[in-house]
Amino acid sequence: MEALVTTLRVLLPAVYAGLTLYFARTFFRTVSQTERLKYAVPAAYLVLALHAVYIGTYTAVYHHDLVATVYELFSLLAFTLFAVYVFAELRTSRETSGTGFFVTAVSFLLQLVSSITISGETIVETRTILRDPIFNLHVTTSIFGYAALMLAAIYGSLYLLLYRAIRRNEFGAIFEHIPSLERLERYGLRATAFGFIFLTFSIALGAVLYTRIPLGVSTAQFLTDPKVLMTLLVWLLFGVTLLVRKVVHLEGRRLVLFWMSGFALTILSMTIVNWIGTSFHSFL
Amino acid sequence: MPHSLIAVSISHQRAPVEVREQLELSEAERTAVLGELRELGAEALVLSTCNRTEIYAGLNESDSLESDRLVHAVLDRKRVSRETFAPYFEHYTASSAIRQLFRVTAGIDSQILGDQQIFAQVKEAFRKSQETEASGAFLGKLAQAAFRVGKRVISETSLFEGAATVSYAAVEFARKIYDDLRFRHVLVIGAGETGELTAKHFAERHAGRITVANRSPERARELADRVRLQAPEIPIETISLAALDDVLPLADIIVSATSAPDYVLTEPALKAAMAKRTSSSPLVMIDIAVPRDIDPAVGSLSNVFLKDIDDLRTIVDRNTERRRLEVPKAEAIIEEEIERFLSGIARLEAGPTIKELRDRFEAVRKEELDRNRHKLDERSFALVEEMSRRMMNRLLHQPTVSLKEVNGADRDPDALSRIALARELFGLDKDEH
Repeated sequence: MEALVTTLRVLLPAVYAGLTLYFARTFFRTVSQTERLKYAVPAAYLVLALHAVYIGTYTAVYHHDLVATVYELFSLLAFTLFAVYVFAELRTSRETSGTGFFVTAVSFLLQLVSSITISGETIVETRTILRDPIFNLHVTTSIFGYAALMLAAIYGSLYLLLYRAIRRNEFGAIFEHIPSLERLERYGLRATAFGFIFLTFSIALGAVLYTRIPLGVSTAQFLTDPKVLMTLLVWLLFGVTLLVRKVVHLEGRRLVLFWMSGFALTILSMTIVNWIGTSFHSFL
Repeated sequence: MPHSLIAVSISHQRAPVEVREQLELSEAERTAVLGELRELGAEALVLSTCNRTEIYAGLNESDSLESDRLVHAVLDRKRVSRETFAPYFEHYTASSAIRQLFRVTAGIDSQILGDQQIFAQVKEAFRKSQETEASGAFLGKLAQAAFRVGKRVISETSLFEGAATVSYAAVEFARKIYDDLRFRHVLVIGAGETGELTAKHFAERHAGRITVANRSPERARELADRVRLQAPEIPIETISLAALDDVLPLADIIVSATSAPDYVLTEPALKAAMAKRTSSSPLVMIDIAVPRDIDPAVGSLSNVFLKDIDDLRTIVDRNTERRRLEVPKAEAIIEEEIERFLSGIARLEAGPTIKELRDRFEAVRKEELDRNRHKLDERSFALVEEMSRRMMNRLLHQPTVSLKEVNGADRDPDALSRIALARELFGLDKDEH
């Protein structure tokens, strides 16, 4: 089993890289509509299956989910990001899926960093809370939330890239293969909504955990924990994005800039928080 | 090959537009030409568009119809001088005629490389040929092969991808911003040819609403009527240029194609319209006019995408170049299909079909005998063997006679159909790729 985990740890970045190259080939080169992404869906399912096997065997071997360290989380995030993309877009609108190249590239980078940095020592060190089902659900929903927001950020970046290409009369690969601005906005909003829902669940489950497990911290300490604060801030920002769209009828580039600045803030605060502390929360 | 094909073609490759337009056949004229060729014993297909007039004639071995006769059928119908117009025609025989039909269907012989419309026009020509009973099994097979070429070129190459005309590029460009036009209001300024083409393209793409603005409201109404014929479900209204300011804030896409010497849309007018817009979605503005209709300063306004004819030509040139790179792939498909068609036709001879039929029956008979050999003693087996042979011969007698009659009755229009049916019924082409 351990040998399988090690093999998959090496194999996964390679298969993500292969898929990224396949998407790149269809993105940058002229291929026919039929030939384009002909094998994308089966290949994507294969990669997802391999990654699922990795997560399963890893959990079985080391008796905890991939949530003990940031680098384990990277792998889970790569998987979730790619799964959300495959099921939300690739499966249904394969022909316009110029976005595949960008999503798989991000998943590849996350998995590469995870595969390189996960070491034997970090994976054998586990905490009791990591075996708690509510805690695992809390982390899983949070991962799904961040993956959806990451996907929204990818769509947002593509929106801005295409917007710039159109303004500058650059009718190359970006213009040709990226879906329309309207569609990118729609996908981005959908991903933001998913992210918001998952984060809502994650926060609620976090609150349940706080009341269930004696952590030895006051409510004030709990609420001022950098990660709790950050998650609340991110949740609030994306909630406001969705609200602003409904109430002020904000659309197009302005809306995309709004949610992209939210994502930039998320990345910034995540980096700072992870820099400050090595653990998930100050009280764990 | 029991049948041969001859063809004549006058197209943009060789004839200028003033010649082509004189030789475009109306529906009634096409019917008359088909009837004339049918009377001469040929199977015929007549394709006539603004860019080409072509006649294909399938002949029996005994026919002596020459391609000049096909040229004369067109020229005499149009009552024009044979001496003046005949030199513009190109003549094809046998596989070169098949190749020409396949090239035309694949869109690689079109003025706009990869023109998809021609595929539908070939289909329509074949339908007409069937309707007038000018097509038989040979032409049927040829048409099927041509359609297969068209479909394969569409699915296996990028020859039909991307916009190849300015008016279509305008629609494609707008769809890069709004891919679902059902909820979009399109304002077309100018009721000329380009305006009409653009309005029709937007109607094809199911635009939510189309407004046509023109200096002469009458022309705008005529254009709207023609678009309505094509897409009756799309609300189309017409306005005069004086009412433009009222519609500007409501439009998502504006296409301007007038022949006005000055700007029709100025920066202040657009600024005012943008201020009145309730949505913050982008405004797409496409200026196809020369001289330009839209003040270029409008392009610097926030949330406005303005493109002119040169920008659209950049898209068209890029697509045309990409299509050109796909031509060898399309030609390879055509050569494959010619070979396939010719071998299919060769199989439609009675002799080989009878032999294949007998071989198939004999194989089944042997297989059954082998399977039951161990159940029978030697005497019984010999009896069954003899009985099965006689039975097979008796069963095959009538089909064999019927197929042999075909050989001696080439003029029978059902001859090839009979062979084709026999092959289909007995699964003789099952290993065909």
